[in-house]
Amino acid sequence: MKQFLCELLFSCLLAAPAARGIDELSYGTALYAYHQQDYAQGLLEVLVAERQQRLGDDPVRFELAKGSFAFQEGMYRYAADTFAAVDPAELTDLDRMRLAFHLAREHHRRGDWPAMEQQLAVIDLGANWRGRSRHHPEVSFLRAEGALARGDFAAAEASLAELDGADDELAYGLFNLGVAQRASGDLAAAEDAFRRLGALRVRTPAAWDLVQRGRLALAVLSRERGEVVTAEALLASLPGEGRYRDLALASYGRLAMARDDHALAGRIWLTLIQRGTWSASHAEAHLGLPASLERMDAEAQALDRYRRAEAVFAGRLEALDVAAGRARDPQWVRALLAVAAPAQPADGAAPADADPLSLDAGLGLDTWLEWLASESVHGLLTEWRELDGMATWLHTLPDHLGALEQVAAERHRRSAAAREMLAAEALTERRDAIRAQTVRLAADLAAIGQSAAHRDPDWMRRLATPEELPLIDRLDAMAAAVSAAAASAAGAAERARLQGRIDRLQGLVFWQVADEQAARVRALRKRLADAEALLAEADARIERLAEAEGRFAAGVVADFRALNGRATAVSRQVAAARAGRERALAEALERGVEQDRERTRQYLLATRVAIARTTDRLAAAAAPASAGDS
Amino acid sequence: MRKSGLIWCLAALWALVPMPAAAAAATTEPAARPAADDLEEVKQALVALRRDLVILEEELLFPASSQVAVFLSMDVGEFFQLDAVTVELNGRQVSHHLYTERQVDALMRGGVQKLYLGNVKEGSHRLTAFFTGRGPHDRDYRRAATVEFEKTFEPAFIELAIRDSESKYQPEFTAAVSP
Repeated sequence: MKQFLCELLFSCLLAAPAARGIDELSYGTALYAYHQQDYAQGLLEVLVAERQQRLGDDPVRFELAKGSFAFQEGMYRYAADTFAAVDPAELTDLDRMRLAFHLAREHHRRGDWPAMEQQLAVIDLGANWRGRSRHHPEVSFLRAEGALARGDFAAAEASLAELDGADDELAYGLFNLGVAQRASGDLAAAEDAFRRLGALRVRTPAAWDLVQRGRLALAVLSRERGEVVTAEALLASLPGEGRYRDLALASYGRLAMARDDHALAGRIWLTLIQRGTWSASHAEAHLGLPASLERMDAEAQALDRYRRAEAVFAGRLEALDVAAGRARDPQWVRALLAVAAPAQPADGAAPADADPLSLDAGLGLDTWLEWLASESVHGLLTEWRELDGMATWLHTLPDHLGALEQVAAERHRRSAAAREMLAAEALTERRDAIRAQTVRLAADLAAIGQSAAHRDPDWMRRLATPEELPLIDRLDAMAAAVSAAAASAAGAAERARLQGRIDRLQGLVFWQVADEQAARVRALRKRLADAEALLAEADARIERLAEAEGRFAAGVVADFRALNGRATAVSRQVAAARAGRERALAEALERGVEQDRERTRQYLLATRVAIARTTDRLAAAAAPASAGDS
Repeated sequence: MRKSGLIWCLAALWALVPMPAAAAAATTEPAARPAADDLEEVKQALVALRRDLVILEEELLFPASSQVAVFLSMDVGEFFQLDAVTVELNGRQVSHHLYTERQVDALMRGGVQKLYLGNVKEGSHRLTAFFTGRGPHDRDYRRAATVEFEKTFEPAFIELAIRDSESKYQPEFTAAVSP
């Protein structure tokens, strides 16, 4: 399966020595949702990445993923538009195969077999290191489907042979193959397909269901050929509980009757009757039990059982009449649907009749659920549930948006306060002054770095350490004092001596500074660079603070208005679509009730005919005795 | 009379009984759905709304200047069966996740889990992830990976990765800042 996703559907995220870019991570999060079959979340991840421009250098894979997720979510038109929008020039060979795969699935959904096979022809996964052809389960299944549509069973078999026994697709493929072969009249081939299906060791409930259907079909075929023992053995292999339990028991009962083992048949029919749950098999048991009793010459008991059956069918007919009336009540239909809803109804208040137990009072919840699970209703019910989930989410959205709006308002307030603080404390002006000072310092430093050392207190001060600065100032002052003393012409020798000492000391400081000039210039440059970096950071912060309010005013507030408007519009759409499904479901339920009524009427008719016949026979048997007595 | 009556009864009975499911024709085309287009329109509008809401939430609650997101990826996973991951940010536990079989499978197939989304101040931070599971020879295994990172005005993305070291026959755990 990993091969499927890595090689065909999406590119695999292989080991990388360092952390990957955000585009890779975004794509990975979409895959994470996809692999958990959360296609809506996967689609959302892709759309968010797209809007945040986190598609990296390979946007095509996001497009293909988007189309694929949309397809899985039942957004077929959106998926088709997405695939059609992909520029073929940007596709690699692998992308081309991925696109062909997605398009093939779409053609398969539409039943456009030639177009599907045309797309499948593009897919070639090559061979593995051992030289064996590599296959993808879903592609092999689609190829088998195309071959079945052409009636080429051999090609279908060849495609199915590529599948592993654990693949669900094999169960579907074998079932469809068996059905198609049976329809074509090739019963031996159909039996072989059903036998292989029945022997599969599958993992998912859906595939297991198919396996049971395969075994049941095999039993039907065996019975049709008169191989009663084989059919019984096959039915015995079905689980004691499950979807096909009653159907299997009924088949068992029929087989027992076919073998004239009416005692066994009677026990089977009795078991079915005692299970209590209404089904076609249950109805069959009500008729089958007295029929078995008749064959065992227990006419009186048979008549009693026929009368009980008559009461059961008549009672059910009455319940169906009531149900037909209920199915025309939209409120009641909604209550029934609420049983199948994933959460509480979107409008909050559950209808009073929503309690499943109250539904059980009439026909039995199983009957309703059986109708809801029928193929014609199932699609509608699935859509209704989806729409109901959307409505529930939309119902809570205004509160959520309200909370976010409060957060936005608070941030907006803080941004405004920050901007006011910037103005009040003249932070911008002060920052500008520091910047000017830094620029000047940089210029001075550049000049010092390039100038030759000369014994001048001003030059020395620029490079002096904090300890040297007062010394330079003091020596400068002393030199000035000695010069001033020269003007008064007192003690020339003493002045010369002092001047000499000052010169010597100044010389010591100068040589110290000059010797370390290069190192000190480098240290000062580094400090200047650090200061400039800090200044740049402060600049960015001030800019962000200054712009924050404007961004909120222009962006988030406007978004809230738009989001609220859109949420309201979508809510209306959802409500309309849900109401449409409810109407359609009500009609489907009415049809279901009517069909059931018709069947029950026929059961009742057959029962009454049997009652008349049995009564006649009992009367005929009693008549000679009476005549003899008289 | 008796025999024929019974046969008639059974024949009527069998006629009423629906054909077994297996005999029904296989179909790949979904049942005709009334107004399927309106559902698609609703879905499109809803998914666009959810997208914008997610982006808005992120902008509001996790602005770029303080946002830090932690992702987890896994490659191969032959030497390590992941049970749980705990994330500590600056010594404080911020996330703990127990994995289902399906989630581990999704990771092994190339999925990346967004493990944590939160806010931190600008400056230096330290993130440590503790991985718990079953290691080689089916033994209990617990390892940690740490990364120190500098938060700037841009959002910080950190990837935790579990990889197999073929040379050491051991799993490797890394934590790195995404470029």
